[in-house]
Amino acid sequence: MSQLQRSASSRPPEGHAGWARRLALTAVAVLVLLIGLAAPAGAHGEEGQQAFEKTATVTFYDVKFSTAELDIGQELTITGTLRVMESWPDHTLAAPELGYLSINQPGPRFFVTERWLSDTFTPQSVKIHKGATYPFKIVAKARVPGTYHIHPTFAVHDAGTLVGPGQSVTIADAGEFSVPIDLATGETVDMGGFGIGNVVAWTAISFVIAAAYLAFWMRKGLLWRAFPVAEGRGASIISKGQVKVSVAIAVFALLVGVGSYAYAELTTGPKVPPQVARVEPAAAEADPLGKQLKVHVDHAVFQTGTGRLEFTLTVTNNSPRPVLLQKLQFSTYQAMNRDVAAGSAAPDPGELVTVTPPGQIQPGETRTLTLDLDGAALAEQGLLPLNEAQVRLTGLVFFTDDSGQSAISEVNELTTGILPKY
Amino acid sequence: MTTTVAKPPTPSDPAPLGKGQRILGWRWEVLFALAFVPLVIGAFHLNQMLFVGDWSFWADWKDRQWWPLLTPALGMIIPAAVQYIAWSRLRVPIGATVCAVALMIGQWLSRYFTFDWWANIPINYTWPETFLLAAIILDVILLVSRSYLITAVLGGLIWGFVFWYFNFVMLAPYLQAVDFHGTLLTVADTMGFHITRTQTPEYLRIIEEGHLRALVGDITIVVAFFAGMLSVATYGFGFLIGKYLAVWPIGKFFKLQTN
Repeated sequence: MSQLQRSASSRPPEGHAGWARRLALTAVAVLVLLIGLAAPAGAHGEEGQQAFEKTATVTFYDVKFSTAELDIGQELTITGTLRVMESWPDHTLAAPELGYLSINQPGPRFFVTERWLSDTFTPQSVKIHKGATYPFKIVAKARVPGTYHIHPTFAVHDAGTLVGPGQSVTIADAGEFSVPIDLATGETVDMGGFGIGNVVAWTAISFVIAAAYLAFWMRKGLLWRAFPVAEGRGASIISKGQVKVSVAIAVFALLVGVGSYAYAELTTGPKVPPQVARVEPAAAEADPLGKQLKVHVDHAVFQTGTGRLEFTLTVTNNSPRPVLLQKLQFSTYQAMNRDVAAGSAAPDPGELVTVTPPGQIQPGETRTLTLDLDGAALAEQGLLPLNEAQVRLTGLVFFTDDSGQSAISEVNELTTGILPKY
Repeated sequence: MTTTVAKPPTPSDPAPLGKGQRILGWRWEVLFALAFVPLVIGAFHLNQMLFVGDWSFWADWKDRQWWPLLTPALGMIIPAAVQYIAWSRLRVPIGATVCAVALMIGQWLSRYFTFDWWANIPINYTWPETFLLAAIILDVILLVSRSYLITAVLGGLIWGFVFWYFNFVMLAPYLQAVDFHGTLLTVADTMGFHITRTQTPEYLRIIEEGHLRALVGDITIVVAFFAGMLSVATYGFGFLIGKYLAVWPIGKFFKLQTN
């Protein structure tokens, strides 16, 4: 009987083994099918962040995108304002000291060409502090055709990346891309492909030497060597000639390495070490109107049955002009005053908040306002922290006076605990 | 089943048996290479990615302190292990060079296909460093000295020391000074400004941080010596991995029997 026949006859009966094998195959097939049902994740990953991180750290507002469609090589400009909230959650996050302005994109589909904070060009990270407001501008050059969801972002050291409102932008497959770099010597080079020819050449030279060395030792095979080595005759399978050739190759490798260093020093321009160029942009001045408004949140209640969120605000207007509550903003969620939206020409004002009593607050007046908005919509975007250690909401309240001046300053930062009503 | 081994020729020109008398055919050599080389690519590439990933990935992380210190020192572990395997079992001084070639293949495949083709991060920003020349020197030191200790000390020192200088020719163009909107940066820093890496803000860069500045003006040579010393230690670590986690357990179960 052959070995194969012997092993076949000694196999266990089909029963259990076959059943288990079929079950395993079915499980694998189900798993593969489930993976196939997964939808692609193209955007809005920031909704996975906790509510306090999105609302109480950095808030973006007045964000505008210059365009939604452009060609390769054309520029997209994103402007707006970002605020490092005074009510930074320092029970769990270190105080904000270092930040970095950028954009969120699925890989470098755009190359950022300019970063500005408060009219200061920021080449790298910036020093920041709580309560600071920074107008920002990012200019990005289109590079890879496709449609991408782009957000301005501000990363804060020890806190993570906070994301502003995003927009889909389409890059058409037309145009040319180049990013010139001006060297200190006056020479201008194109960043695309810069330096790679040199890298490939020197890697190839090193590889040829290494390949030659390996070929020398492997040309007569390797595995046969195991036998004399196992018998203790390893020294006998290396000849003096082989040693001499190997030493020569090693010396050559050393000379090539040293020579390459000398070549680099002679052929490249003035060099500096990698630079750390961090600046401290000046925070925007506090809004003059905002200094004259006193806003206090009395309480906030979330009705779990109806999903409504109700705030009670006491507003004192110490300015010489009547003011009107324009909108609320929590992270990227905005709710406009229903009365303001009614008078607006915009076709879709988005989420609305009902302000009672309506109307302007006169100079010198103190008024208690009740604000009613859709808490369920906030919860859907993960902005209602009902299941967190701090059940509180932080956002901005925007007022305007009759001259159109808006107040979005520290005084009007809204932070309050929320009482769920079950 | 026994295997008859014909006594090989005298050491003046040691060679395997003639075609008709070959113990193991060339197909076994190919099978061995097909199995072993991907294993080394995986092990060494994973080692580098986990220990020194960012310094290897990005041109603007290749500074004068951490890149030339950590990359060769932690990149010594796998070559030392494979060198032990190759020398102790086959008496062939190619362990480190095989590792360096394998790493080169793995890194370039990764940078080109994963970084450039898939994620559109240009390869002139993510090019990898190389150990090719240093690996040849390390192997030949073992060949000449026939001592793991001498290879660890002398070879380790050289391996760590030459890393910056042998890779400088590739890095030098990226260290050229740039006047970027009134700020002095390098070409690599400028590339880092332009190319956004999601969830990798600039302040995460670990470059030029530390206190190795007290002794001499040129930090590079101090770091090169320190990298050499660290490589001596990590050679020992790799040697132990090769001996006790590779050769010894495999030797217990796969013994070559001869008459």
